[in-house]
Amino acid sequence: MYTLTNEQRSEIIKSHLAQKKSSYNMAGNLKEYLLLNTKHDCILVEDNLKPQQIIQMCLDRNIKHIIQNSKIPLIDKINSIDEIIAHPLKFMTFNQKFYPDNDTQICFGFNSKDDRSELVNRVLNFFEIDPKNHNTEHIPKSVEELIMNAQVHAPKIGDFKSPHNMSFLAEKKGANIALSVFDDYGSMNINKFLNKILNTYTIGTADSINYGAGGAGLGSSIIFQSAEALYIAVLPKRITRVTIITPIKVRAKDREIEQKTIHIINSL
Amino acid sequence: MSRCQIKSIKKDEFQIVSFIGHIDEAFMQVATTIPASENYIFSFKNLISINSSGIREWILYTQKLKSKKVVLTDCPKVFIDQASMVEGFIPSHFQVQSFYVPYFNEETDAEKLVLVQYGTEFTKDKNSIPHEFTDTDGLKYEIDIIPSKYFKFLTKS
Repeated sequence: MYTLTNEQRSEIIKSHLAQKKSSYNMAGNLKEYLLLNTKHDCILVEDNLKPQQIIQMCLDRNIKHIIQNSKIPLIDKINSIDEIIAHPLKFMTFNQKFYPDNDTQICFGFNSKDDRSELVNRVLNFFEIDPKNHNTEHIPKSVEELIMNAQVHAPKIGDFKSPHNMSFLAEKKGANIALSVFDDYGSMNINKFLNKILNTYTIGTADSINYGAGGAGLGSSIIFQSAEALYIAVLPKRITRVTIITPIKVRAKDREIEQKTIHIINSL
Repeated sequence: MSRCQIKSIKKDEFQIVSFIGHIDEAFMQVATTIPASENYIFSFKNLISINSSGIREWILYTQKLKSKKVVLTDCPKVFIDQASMVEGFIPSHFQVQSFYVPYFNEETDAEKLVLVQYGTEFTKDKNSIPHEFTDTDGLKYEIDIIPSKYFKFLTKS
């Protein structure tokens, strides 16, 4: 349903490349992508890639940007990454908003001791989401995981002694929302994060569970499943930002045909 | 501190336990306060969510109930989603007595959750859960899950 023809995809890429803000390359399929000059950021614009495939491609081929057309149109996603690649350090701050022309947003700081239920409810109230509705359940699920990662897991990975700053940014535009969590531990290992997602597809959720110290190893997968587009950015020992973009309402049958997008932002 | 509250009463040979709130990384703190019994009825009517760490803690808790008779009632979608996705989330000797199935009306965007019962809409061998129904106002609702995924737990447990 969301699949574009090769001609449509090429046309969108061609018209975008003529007005892009910085030096990066774009390809409309994997074959073309592999021929790109990797000196600059390279973006793969594809179709019909399953969630597992895009994670596999990030890990195996070191691809950092894969965009697919879905309920959120391809051109909107290209415009977002265009801005981010032009100003990668800005992305590590609240100044990089997904819907900058829109005042429908909230931003709040939190710490590891704050009641997570209250934080999640704050976001749900802002979006006027009834927690009992099943077509919006991916919002509380993902907010819970994003905040738990920052509150519980991020400090442990780096063995930090003192509390750090954490913040949440929620934005809304029309039927879509962006949820971002920031922490200034900068301790996320992106490859581990991606591998945990991949494991749930390759060996199954049950066998992916970590029964040792640390997280269960399922949070990254829950976040990815909740997202139409996932953005992960780490400035080691300084900042981690994880953002998901998703329609507010997603029916189970929509999720089946959704085409996911992923971006790994290199801010260095 | 756990965000899950537990209310427990003894009725006949059953310990009836209600789980209220969120099953999370601190779940075991409250799970270990559940009185010992040979027979349990676990009610999830007021369960709001299970996070990724909660999934692990729940599985660890169920492993302590290997020789017990456990009946699960009023299982919400957040619970059934995990049951169908995570092998062993509901051990094979547990019995699901009732769970919620989500439905949707395309015209009004209205959602409904319907409680289905063991022995009526499903058993171990049959699943006659309707894929659509019409409510008393004449609104037609269609099932709002992927049946092959959502009902997977019925064939596992």
